[in-house]
Amino acid sequence: MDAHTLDRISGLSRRYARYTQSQPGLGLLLGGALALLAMAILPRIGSSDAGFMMSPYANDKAWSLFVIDQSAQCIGALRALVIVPFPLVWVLAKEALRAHHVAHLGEVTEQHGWRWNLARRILATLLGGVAFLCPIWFLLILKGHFFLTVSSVQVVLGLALVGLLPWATLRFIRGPQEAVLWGLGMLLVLAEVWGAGYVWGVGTGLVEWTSLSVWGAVQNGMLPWLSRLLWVASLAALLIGMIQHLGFLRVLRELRKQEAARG
Amino acid sequence: MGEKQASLPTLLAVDRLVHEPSRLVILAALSEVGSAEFLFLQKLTGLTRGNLSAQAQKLEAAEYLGIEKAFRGKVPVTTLHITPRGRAALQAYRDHFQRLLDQGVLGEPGAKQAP
Repeated sequence: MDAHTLDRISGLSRRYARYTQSQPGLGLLLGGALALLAMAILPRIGSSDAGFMMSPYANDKAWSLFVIDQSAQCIGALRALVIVPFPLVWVLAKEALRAHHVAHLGEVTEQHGWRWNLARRILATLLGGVAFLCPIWFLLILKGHFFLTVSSVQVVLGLALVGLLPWATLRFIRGPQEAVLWGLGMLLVLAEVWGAGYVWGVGTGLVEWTSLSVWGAVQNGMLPWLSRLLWVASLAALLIGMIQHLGFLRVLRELRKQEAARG
Repeated sequence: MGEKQASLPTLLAVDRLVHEPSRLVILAALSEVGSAEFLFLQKLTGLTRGNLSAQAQKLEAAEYLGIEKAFRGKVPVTTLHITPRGRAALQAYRDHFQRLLDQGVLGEPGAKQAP
């Protein structure tokens, strides 16, 4: 056995680990396709076609005036049905694909560099912070410190979404490209679902009422940018996913050859 | 010739635990990943289940490998990872053979055909 063979074997297991963990190929391709589909459908749907999951302040008279005044977006049922499931369906589908490969060939984990470990910790801290602040905000509203009325169903759904974010991110997001697509997708979902009421400040409820107009303006300014960024990220995901998948197919061929040569 | 004779003790001093081809492949396969399941190593090395298990146990006894057993649902899953000691042993083995090659003990000096 020579040095080249050993290098090939270690390289093969390293590449297999990479393609089943941080560079999922088909999984990323699927994410890009789903995001593009959602982004293509969204402009065809009105921003407030129903009262489902509207902005937390939608029932408030002052908020309604504000909405009319600022044209802030309130999410409707159809819009919610398009935008909310896309990151969730993607994550479930890519995990199913991964489970399929792992079931046939076994799981191999990567040796992560310090940069990725640091990025994961920062992401977990940020999301953990959001998840920690959210119940405080919720309790303050429940205690009637604010003159805003919030639908309990909406609050529970929103809290569940936000509360699951740190867990889902650490559990299912395995690489930088996935993190970008997931991050942008979830930001868009949160922006759509919570509107000016949440994503542009956990604390819209913690700031003065007059500041809402600032948040609303930020939301209106940010949504198109988020959409554009997601378009770019989705197209990049399609391209990168294709390249990664071709690499994974090469690894599978080499594994089969290796198995045949020995067996 | 004298240099080659002087290298013989060095040749015999090779880490035999690592030198065995099946164990060498297992260590090489694990050297650049965090951990690998038994199933993957079986596919990669082409070893039988019994042989792979026996070689892995020898490496574990020498603390070159760590072995964890768990269940995924109802399916038992065995995961292996290389320890720092195992990584050092593999590196030492490769360095050792490169030195022998450089000295011309295993062939032409400077050749890079050995581990």
